[in-house]
Amino acid sequence: MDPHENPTAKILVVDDSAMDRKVAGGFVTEAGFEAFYAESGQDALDHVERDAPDIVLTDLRMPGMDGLQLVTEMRASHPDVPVILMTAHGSEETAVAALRAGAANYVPKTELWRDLAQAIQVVHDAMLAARGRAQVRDLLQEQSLHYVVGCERGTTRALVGHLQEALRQGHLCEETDLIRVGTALTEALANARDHGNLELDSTLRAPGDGSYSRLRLERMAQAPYCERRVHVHALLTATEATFTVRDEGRGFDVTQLPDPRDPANLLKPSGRGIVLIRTFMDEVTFNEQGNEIRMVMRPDPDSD
Amino acid sequence: MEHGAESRMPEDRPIIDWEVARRSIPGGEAGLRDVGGMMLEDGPRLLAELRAALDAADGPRARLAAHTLLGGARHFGAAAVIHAAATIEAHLAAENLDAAAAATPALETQLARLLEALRAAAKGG
Repeated sequence: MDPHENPTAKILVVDDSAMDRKVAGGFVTEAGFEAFYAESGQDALDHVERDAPDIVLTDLRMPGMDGLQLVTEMRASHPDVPVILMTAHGSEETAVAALRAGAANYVPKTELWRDLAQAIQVVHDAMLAARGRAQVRDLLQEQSLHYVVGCERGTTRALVGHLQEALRQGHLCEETDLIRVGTALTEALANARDHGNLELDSTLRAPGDGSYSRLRLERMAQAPYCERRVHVHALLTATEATFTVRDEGRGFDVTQLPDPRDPANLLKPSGRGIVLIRTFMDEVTFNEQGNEIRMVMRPDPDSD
Repeated sequence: MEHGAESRMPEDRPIIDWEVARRSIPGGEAGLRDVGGMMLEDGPRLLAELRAALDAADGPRARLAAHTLLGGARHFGAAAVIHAAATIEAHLAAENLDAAAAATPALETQLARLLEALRAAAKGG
């Protein structure tokens, strides 16, 4: 194994018992890893900040911050550092809680001699694989995706889900923002389909007599409306995601679009989609013809 | 670290299970010596801690001391010490401090056997 490609993993052994630290650390070293030590949960957190271990191997029952609390803290502050539990009789319930709280693996203290090396190796391999994916992601310059969709609503929902997944994998969007971006994309696709390709006027919704839906169904089977397609292009880079949605309709006068900064527009029966898009996206522009919207979103610089 | 007849108590089986110890403690003979030395230091200290905690009616502190002693004895397969410490731990888990205190002399006896066997082994006798 080339140490430059896969350097020895640093394992932080956490146990209040000096004997148990010595024993666990000995097995860690014999397995080919580097061991260093902490005497408590709080001590472990200090070491994690200072020494950046690859894996934390912890006892469960300790005075002060116990193993379960340590797992919870690690999950919150260092989710990329896996925690392996050393369990003993009497701590089974705590171990289950710690596994649910995010621990990556566990080894009974009585079986360290047999199981510890393999448990560390399994977690280490999984960690390297995850880091590998992250490295590849960092190397990615851009990802270009192009879709052509008709007027079926189910297709739109599936496409938005697919684009959300691409954003998630590219770490371009926080989980909470995914819903907002998904909403903006859904509105953009609906606008392109209904108002662009099917040329449905949103004022038809106002009477509430179903005239909008009836005309929609009619045009979905009527040329030229049913032959039109929506073209979706997504360009994902390390710093931003750009979505372009173009329909094959006549376009519209973009100067008449509602201003999202005006609260009155939130209550209007039409234009809600555009208000949402302009609110959720960082940049929104239209082409001159008014049949193409370009939306740019950039990750929050304060997020991971 | 040597082992043999010195580890045996005439009226009982050996206090140390050397097969378990060799398996449970890494580092070969040096490892056995090091961890044995630590047990010789920590064993009396943990017993004193247990007694002090019981005197102070501090159940959680007493339970931690018994648990740590048990963990140390486990490395040497010292079943009699493990059993005595586990009995105390169970009483403390049930918040029965009187029963834990009553069970402490048995732990003291078995721990003394373990420490004596470790001293003998360290001397290579």
